[in-house]
Amino acid sequence: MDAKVQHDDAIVFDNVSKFYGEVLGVNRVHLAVPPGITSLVGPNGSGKTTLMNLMTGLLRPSQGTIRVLGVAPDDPERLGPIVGYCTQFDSFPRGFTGRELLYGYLRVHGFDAQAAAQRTDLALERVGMTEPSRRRIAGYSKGMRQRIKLAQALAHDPRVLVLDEPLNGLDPMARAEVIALFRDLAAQGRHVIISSHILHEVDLISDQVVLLHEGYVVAEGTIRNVRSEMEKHPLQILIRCDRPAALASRVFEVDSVVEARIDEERGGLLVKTKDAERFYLALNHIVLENGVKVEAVAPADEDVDAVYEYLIGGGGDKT
Amino acid sequence: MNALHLAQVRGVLRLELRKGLLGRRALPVYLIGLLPLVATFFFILVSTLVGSGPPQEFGGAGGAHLFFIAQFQFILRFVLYVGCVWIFMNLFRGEVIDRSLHYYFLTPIRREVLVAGKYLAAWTTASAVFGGSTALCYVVVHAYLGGASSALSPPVLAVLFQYVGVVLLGCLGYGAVFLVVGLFLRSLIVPALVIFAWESLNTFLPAFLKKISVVFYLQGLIPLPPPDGPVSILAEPVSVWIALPGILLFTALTLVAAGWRIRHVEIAYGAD
Repeated sequence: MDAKVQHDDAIVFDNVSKFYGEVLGVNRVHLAVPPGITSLVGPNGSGKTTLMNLMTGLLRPSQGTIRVLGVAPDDPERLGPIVGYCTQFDSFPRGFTGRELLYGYLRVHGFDAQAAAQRTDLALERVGMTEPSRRRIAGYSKGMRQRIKLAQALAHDPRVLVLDEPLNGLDPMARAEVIALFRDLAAQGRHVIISSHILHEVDLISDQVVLLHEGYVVAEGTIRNVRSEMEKHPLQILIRCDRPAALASRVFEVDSVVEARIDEERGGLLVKTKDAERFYLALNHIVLENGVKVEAVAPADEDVDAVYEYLIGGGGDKT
Repeated sequence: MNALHLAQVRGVLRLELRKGLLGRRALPVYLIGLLPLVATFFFILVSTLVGSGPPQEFGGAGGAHLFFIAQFQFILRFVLYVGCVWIFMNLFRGEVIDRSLHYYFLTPIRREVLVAGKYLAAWTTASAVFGGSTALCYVVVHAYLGGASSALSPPVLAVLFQYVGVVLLGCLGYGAVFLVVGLFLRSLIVPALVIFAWESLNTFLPAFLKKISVVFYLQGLIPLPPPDGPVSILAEPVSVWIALPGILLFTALTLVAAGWRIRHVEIAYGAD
């Protein structure tokens, strides 16, 4: 991920470690996160929130340096305007309505009354909270609290959005809206950093992933690149077709194929190959020569779930 | 401090005054502030029910002054102390308990400016409640013991302003101490008791140790010294020219320590 990235346009971790007393938070992290949607993936305790707290200045690294678009996180005057953070903490200052919270904190940012009011309205509208915003936060549902936190992270129009489990508590409709919003922000060239332990969600929205395990970065990059570099685990491709048996008898003609078996449950042939590109080319010929009607061809384990399982879970088959 | 810092301090003030005066944590502040008034009305009630009016030794304007001198020691040494403990120790500690400190830390505000804004808001809250309570007590006592016209006479009001001034300075000094204690320590009760003991025993301390206390300087600013008697040993007048700069310097140094400390604070609510 870091080779092509200009450091003033990236979030850079240089040999960063964080210890809580003797407990490891993250260890020796080297990262350069480019614009777009980047997902931090890992189970609870893997270091996702620690990384986010480090890049937003809520924590200080025990060693190493961090730069967010060239700004040190311990410089709040320069960091605050460019970073918005939707934390996992489900807590708010007491007694405020959603609107008062946003407006109040925009004033602390230094916006005048008119600008703060306009930005408050805009942020509330973006997360669909205009109507309930005059009610006290204490009476909000979990989904509403999540959305008001999102509004607070967005309100000052930051270039970097850090979102810790942002889809938690949202209903399917709201999830779709919020994901569309993330895509929109990423398309504008912003950095959108998301943590999630729901891997299929990550697959849907990420441009790149950072896989974490027990405080270590175990892989980073686009899902496809990470997956293709795992030579120990041949890529699985599912070919849904009318005659999988006929296809199976021919696919071994391709050198890179190491295994093929009929998957009755999914109605197709599951092929394991060490070179997906060569296999796809050869598959065209085989299909044409044998008159097989192909319904769909898709990687079966080129998702975060499988990649994470291979890297962390000992490499069991995802079939 | 530049224009942005001033705008940010105003922003913090708005939020903190709202919390300090209308929030859930404001109730104990009002109850503590009411204590001197309750004591005053209790005194009036008892003297009306038991006797036929004010006791002879407290008769007239002179008696009112005498009564209020004792009353003010209660305000200074207990009400102001406990009130400031509650308000200022909770300034940051309360936010950590509520898990809401990160909202401030995510804004582009220098941490020292945040300390200044929160401290100013807390001082305003404390001054309004305890200064108001002191003024009301003073007027009620003088109205009861010296008559309504006496309570509003210019010389009596001049003394009142001095008493309120001492309260405001008390909030300044105690506030700074408890703000910094709340930033350094997790448990607040033990340090509050230790400081209370230190302040209470101030009179008996050697001269150089006396100066390391808020009450030492405040006593020097009280307009009317206590007469001979049990209260008198508590007060050991110090020149206004030492007391006023002393308390301001003490406050400034303590706030510098708070500013240094806040720069190193991390958000790790789980550890609390």
